[in-house]
Amino acid sequence: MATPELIPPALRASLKGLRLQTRALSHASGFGLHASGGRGSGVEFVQYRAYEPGDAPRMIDWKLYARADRFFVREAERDSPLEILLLLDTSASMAQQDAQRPNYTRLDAARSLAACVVLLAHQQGEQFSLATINASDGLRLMPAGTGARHRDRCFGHLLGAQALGKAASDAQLRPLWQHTRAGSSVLLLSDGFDDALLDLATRLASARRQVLSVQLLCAEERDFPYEGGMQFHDVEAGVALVGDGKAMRAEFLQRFAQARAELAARFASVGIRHYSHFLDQALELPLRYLFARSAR
Amino acid sequence: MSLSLLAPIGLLALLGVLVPLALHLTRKATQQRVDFAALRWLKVQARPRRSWSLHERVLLVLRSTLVTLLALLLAAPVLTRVPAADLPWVVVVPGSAPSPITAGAKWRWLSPGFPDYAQAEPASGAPIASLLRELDAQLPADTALTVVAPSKLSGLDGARSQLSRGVQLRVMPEQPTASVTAAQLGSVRVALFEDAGSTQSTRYLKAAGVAWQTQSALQRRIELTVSNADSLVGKPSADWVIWLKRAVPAHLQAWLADGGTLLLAHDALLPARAEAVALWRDQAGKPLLVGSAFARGRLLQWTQPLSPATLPQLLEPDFPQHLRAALEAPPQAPNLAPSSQLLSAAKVSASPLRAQPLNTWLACFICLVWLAERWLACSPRRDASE
Repeated sequence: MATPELIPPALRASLKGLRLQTRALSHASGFGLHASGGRGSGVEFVQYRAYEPGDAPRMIDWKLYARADRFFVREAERDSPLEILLLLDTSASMAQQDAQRPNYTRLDAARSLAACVVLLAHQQGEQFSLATINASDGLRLMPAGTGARHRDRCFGHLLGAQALGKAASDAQLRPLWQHTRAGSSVLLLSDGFDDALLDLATRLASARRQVLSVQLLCAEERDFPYEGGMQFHDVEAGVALVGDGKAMRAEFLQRFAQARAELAARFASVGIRHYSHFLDQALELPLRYLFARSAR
Repeated sequence: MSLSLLAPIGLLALLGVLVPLALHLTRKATQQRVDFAALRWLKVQARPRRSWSLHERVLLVLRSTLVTLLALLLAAPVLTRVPAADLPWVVVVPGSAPSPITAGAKWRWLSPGFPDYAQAEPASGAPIASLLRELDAQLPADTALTVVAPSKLSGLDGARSQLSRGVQLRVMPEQPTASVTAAQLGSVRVALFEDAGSTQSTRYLKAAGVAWQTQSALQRRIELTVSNADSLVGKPSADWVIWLKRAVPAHLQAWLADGGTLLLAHDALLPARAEAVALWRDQAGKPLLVGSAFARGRLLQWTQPLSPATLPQLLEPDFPQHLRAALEAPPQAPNLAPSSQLLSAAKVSASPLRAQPLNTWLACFICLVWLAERWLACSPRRDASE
């Protein structure tokens, strides 16, 4: 089972009402909980139709033939699994933490969220894969799979992830295309500051993947509580900016809020379900927003 | 026991405390480093406020202490020990009549070393005012002092003595001293050395010598002997010498330097001497006889040849008195004063005697403090925190 580090007990308890689901139709075949919309052999009965030349003789319902003395084919819904790719940004900006709550970085929140989704996917019997990306380590991918062993491997990969290095480049992100197909889901856990990842998300969404995005932000980026002379360091770019916190607050808040709004609008325009999560809030909020069980 | 400063102006060096204070003040921009990934939306709005703060306060305190101690060292602190009150002192000036010793007081002679009164009377002639001042400086402030003095005192200062305490003066009648007779005054030997060509001028000098012998009994007797200048071998055995030859031999000059009085003719070949002072002027003011000091002796010289044509005063009846007055040593300046004029009512402040200078102790302490400051400044603990 999940270690307590990854998923706190309170969060574990709140996973009960959540369900991974997809709006798009997946053309994968196999057993799963989701309706594919296609007709084929499955469990759920849809209708009987007349036999047409070319149907497999196997599909003829012989009980009905015994009653009606005509050939009928039983149609059922074809099951298809949900494929979900969890994309975790492990660049150095993910190591930022709040002064109020040290030792809880963005990466820790992303890890917990990813672990919850892995757990949900395993419970639902879905296929899930995990990728961590940054410029120094490149793309570290756990290929799609199912089962408890795969889940535990994913947990191990999550625990070993470290936030360092710059943001990934487009070339490093390219192999991801092979691991998603049209109709599969992608969950992006990032801080939203890396343009390459954002471009990838928009392109994936345009390419008929169902993209979900959680932007992890620190409470200080929302409030900018800094007072006095501050030296702001961007660890990824290695740039430092010196200024008086109080004087810079208003402009930063306005520009950052505008940037967030632009990102949300951009994602909404391509159909990405986007949630901005702040580290001082409960982790179940993004999960509930994205995966709340709703009537189909 | 009290601490006092000999040079309080050295405390101006306390202004040096500003130096370590200024060194420790940092105008460093109080910057707090924070990791911030959303840097691209930050704009440098204002220069960060720089606040003044003192860093390394312990070291600052040590350094200020060091500067303060150095300023104190400059101000020369001394520890004055006020000696305990003594018995009242009674000092007796040598020469006063013997007085009975009273109990309850210290009786001393007013003489160098202040010997006990019971000992023999020391010789008089010591400077009384100076000894009084020395005694006043030595004694504790609240010790009473009484001076027993004769009615006339010598060896006083030019003004009345100002001491730091009120001194009681007890005037005793003087010891009767025998009057001085003419026989006790002694006599003066004058040697006149004439040359072959100066016989004419010696007439007048011999006449003056005869006139001297007939002067009043209260003055010293003068005996004049005449001899040839060439017959002088070695130093003359006279008090005054009148030399009428041009050349002055070396042994005569040596005798002069030893303390003799030499009267030379106007054309004598003189050794180098100091500026001459006119001892006898004529009515017009022109000097006739000039004198000057020569080592320990007196060198006199006529300004004119000794002949009535050039020196008409030779024929005057008071010529011997003038000559004698010039040859006699200048009289002693009067230095007797009534002892009631000894003390002044004004007081001076007591001198801080027995002031023990604290410089060495203070210097050792300063070295210790400096070592502590160095250790604190260079310790590895500090390097680690930098």
